[in-house]
Amino acid sequence: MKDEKIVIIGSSVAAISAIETIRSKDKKVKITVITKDKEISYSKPLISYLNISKEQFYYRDKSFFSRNDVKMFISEAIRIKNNSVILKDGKDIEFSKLLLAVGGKPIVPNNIKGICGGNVFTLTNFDDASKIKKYAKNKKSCLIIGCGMIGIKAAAFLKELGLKVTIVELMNRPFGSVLDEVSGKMVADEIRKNTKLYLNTSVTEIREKECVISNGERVFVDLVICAIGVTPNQDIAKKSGIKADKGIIVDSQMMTSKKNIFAAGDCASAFDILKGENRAIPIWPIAYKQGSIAGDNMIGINTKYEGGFVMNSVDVFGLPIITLGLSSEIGDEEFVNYDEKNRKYKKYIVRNDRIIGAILIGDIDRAGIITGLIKDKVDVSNFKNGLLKENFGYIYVPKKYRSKEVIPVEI
Amino acid sequence: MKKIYFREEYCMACRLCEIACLVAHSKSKKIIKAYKEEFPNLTPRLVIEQNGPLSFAIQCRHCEDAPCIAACVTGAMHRDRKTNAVSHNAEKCVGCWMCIMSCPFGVILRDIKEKKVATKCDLCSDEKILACVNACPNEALICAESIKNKDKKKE
Ligand SMILES: Cc1cc2nc3c(=O)[nH]c(=O)nc-3n(C[C@H](O)[C@H](O)[C@H](O)COP(=O)(O)OP(=O)(O)OC[C@H]3O[C@@H](n4cnc5c(N)ncnc54)[C@H](O)[C@@H]3O)c2cc1C
Repeated sequence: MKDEKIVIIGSSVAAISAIETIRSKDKKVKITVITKDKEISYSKPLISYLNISKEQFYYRDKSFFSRNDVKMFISEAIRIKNNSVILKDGKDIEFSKLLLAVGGKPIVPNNIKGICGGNVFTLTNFDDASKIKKYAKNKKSCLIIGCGMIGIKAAAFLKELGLKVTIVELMNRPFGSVLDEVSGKMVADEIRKNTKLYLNTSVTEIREKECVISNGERVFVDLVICAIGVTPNQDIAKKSGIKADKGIIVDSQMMTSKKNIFAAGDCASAFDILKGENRAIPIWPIAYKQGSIAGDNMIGINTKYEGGFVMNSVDVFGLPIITLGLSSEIGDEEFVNYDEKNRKYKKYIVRNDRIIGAILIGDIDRAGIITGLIKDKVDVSNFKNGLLKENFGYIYVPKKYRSKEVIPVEI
Repeated sequence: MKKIYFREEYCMACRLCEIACLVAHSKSKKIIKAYKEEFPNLTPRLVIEQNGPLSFAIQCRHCEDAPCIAACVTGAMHRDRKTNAVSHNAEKCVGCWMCIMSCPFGVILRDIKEKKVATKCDLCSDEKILACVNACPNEALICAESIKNKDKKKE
């Protein structure tokens, strides 16, 4: 193999996973990381956690990059020219293989008056969280736009910082893209025990000390957090002639439209096994997996990405929620167990005898078995009636589908 | 790497493996003391499943391509460099349940009382013997080389 010069833009999970995969097989190949993160190897999903130790906050210890013999450039990459990455500070970094692991960007709507004000924040990286912490000191109340994954984390974060929280959500329920009506209402009730929640509502104007919302009400607030979602960061790709449309388009080797350039993580649009087409799925496990696949392929080990699907685990003020796959869609059959009193909800959506989505609230134990059934497209026709049973477990999975991992060799 | 496997045709669901697992992961490591003083706060690290006449005990498979490691946002779930086992560092865990969502065997368990930390089979890292395998009177639980390794050796 010729001497590769691997350059990675980004230093978060997709990048780290690529580096770990490469180094587990090749100790010598040159790796360079370009990142605009001042704080490296922290875990993004933990930026809103207040009561965790430094050790918990860092995904890998601070010596990770030096230990793995990675050359670092702390700067912003602007574009790619021939086989070089051009940095903001004028430097020019040459590569033979490049990985774009540039993540996502927060979506900020442009139709809200005052959205550019100094009292409006997003919450998607370490810097954002630090700024919010600083600004929130001695403040009384805040408003959060959007009641999805990041919105709910922001709400818990600001509540812990001692502020009164109001959430404004455009849809008729929280987590509208992954919860159905019944579970959405259940979760809304839970949120309302902790914060104020407006549904079917939007913010029309942000002023210095108040927000005007679409029902005409005015809410007194000191700061606003815009948490309506993230979108793939495709700035560099677009500037450099790499194919991108709602994400940098990659094939099963995580290769972009340019042969020696790869993409992985929140910025990439890769195969979704449930939708049957490429799309960006901005979640941690997928970024990790794709980073590793890209790492292999960059050092010439042909590895294929099987595809992924949406899943999430979120804690709503102590109520655990896991959603898997196409959880808000309608199937041929649905298996639902709603225990209102004990705040528990389970729903499995089956289409063509395969589980395509699931919602688990309250009791989330063993959710991974369902994840496995979705991933492997296991025919559930023979045991679907057992899905809601108390003793449901791996034992229900027909022997022929059980993973090789459970079969012993003859002794 | 050696792993623990179950042979469902030999399992009688006697639950001796579960007891042995609890005791092996208790502070005192003594059955009576563990049950008297620690019991409700102890979570076994294996799952006994029963459906009609069928039963088996299942614990972490220490997968080669472990989905729980991919999903862990803190780095608590990791590959032990020495033993190659999938290991869990409770100090790092924040209880986000991403691992529970990802494990296709459903063998990572919530330890709700102990903060929110998830627990799983650690291949009895403190001990020389595997408690569950040792306790099984029927050899329904066995310790064997994993298939992949065996294949590799054949090559
Ligand atoms: C508050 C919050 C909570 C979350 N919680 C969860 C959760 O519980 N579960 C889950 O599955 N997912 C969660 N996510 C999503 C998860 O964090 C992402 O999927 C994951 O971080 C994606 O990793 P990545 O490596 O693709 O990109 P990112 O983590 O976004 O990192 C991108 C990297 O690229 C760098 N970069 C970008 N542009 C440039 C440039 N031009 N030049 C140089 N460097 C650049 C950045 O500095 C950064 O290092 C959460 C996200 C947020 C914001």
